[in-house]
Amino acid sequence: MIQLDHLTKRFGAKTAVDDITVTIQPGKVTGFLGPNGAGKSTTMRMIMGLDRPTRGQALINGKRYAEFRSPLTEVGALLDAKAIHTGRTAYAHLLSLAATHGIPKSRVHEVIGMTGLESVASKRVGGFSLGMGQRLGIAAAMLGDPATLILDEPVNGLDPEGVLWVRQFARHLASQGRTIFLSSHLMSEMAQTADHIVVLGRGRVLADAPVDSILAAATRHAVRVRTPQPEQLARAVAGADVAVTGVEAQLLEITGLTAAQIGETAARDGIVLHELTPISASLEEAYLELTQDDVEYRTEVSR
Amino acid sequence: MSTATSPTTPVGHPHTSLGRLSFPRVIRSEWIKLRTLRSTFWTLISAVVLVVGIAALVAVAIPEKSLLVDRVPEGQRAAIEAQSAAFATTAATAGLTFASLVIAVLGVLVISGEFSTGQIRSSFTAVPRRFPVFAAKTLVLFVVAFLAGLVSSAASWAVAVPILNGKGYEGDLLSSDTLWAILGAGAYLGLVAVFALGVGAILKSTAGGIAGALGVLLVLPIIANLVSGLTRTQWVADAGHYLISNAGQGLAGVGNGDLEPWANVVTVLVWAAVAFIAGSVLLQRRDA
Repeated sequence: MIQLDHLTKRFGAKTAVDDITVTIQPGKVTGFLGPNGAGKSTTMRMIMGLDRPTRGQALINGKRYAEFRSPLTEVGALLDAKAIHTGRTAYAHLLSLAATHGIPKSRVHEVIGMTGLESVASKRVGGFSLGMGQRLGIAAAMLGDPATLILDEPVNGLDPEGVLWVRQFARHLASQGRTIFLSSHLMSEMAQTADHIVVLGRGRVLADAPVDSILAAATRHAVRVRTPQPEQLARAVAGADVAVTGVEAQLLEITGLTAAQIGETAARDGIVLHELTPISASLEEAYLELTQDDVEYRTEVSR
Repeated sequence: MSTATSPTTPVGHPHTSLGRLSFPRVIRSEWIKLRTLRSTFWTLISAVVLVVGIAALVAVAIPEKSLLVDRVPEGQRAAIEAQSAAFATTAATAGLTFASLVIAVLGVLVISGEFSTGQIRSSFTAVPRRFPVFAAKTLVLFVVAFLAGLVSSAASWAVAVPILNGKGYEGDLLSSDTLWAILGAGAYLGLVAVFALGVGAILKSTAGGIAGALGVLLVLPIIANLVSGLTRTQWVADAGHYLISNAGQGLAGVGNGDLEPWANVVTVLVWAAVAFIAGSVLLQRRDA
């Protein structure tokens, strides 16, 4: 379990992570979603004690990361695929990390096999592709067989087979009761991997919910209705599967009914409608909507 | 990557009884890191070759004592006799400055290479308290540089003394002065490496670290010499003795003004310690 408690990080005048309080549960894959520059990496670096929080704290199973007597067996992290000396071989890199905890060579070979790096283990990391770097980073994270795994953009640079592998790997580890926290800027990727999603935009938590409810919200088929008689309409359409939300004073969003059904009900009861618009958001649209005010770098012309 | 791997590869169960973090293990890790980089091998080899090669060259270039004595006026002959043993020291330590520069580059690289590649984040993830990483690095680097200094210095004397003995100069390979000088050169190079490692940790960059370390080792003594020579200010000349490079020359047997051997040792130690402390404080304070 990872607990973020009012975690805040400022770089000069810029607030990268703004007072986030989130609990990441074990036994689940928790996706950390947000556009580039939202503060995902900074948050993860603070969990691992690499960046010092300006305020608040990050605890893993109740402790700060630096307090563990055996950090690598508690938490494994892939924060940056290229956080590896380019002049060393993959094997030497893993061996040097393993040595700090007395992890045996056999385990080094095990994680090399687990991540499919056998053929390049004796090559220097400088020549690695991004995908190979990611695999090596995951191998390093798995060295201590940790109960908590933190992966920053693990599928970045992986080929489709690698993406599938990471997805299944993460799910498999979560099924063993481990805490899996992985970030991505791709909603579609998260939808297929995560059980729970935390959405970050400009350093703030925009959503923290199970993937099902985020998906449900994202793929909803709602109807936007503008009417001077919102209360009468709400009463008229009320039903078991119908949800009515007031957006503005005279603007309602109704789910559970089609535009035609709402229009017919209104006509029957003599309710005036000024607007009747079906809205269906795709996953990516919902995500964009959620984060559109919170994207730090935006292109002016949309393609 | 085309290697197919199954996601159901056994991963064991959470919390296996794998070992704990400990300082001896971090030392082992740093030793693995140092020996698995090619730059380590090449800098050490070039340091040794430089020192021994230069010692041999200088020893060969020094003229026969009888020739020298014939050429100088009568009154100065006694001086040459008195200085006879110093020729061996001159030859054996001629390469020391170059070796210190090469070792300093190694010292900077050991830490700046971690910053420039991002390796430092892997290192601090494995050892989140950070100080053990820096302390272990320092220890391993000191021992390696010390041994390289010892070997190259001993080889220099072993090459220079027989050549100069053959030319009529005094010089005893196994005298206590010589043995102390060999030990001193080793200690100096070990501490230069520590000093450079500290500078590298403070400045974080390879270029900046090398410039900083070489500035102190190479440029400061030149400036001190120039200023004291041109302005004839005694205090600048006196202060110059407390530069790490000059004190290091003293350790290696060359002599450093009127400074006692222990003063040379303390001077070099202080330079190394200040850089080490500043580096380790900054390393723990800054974001990685």
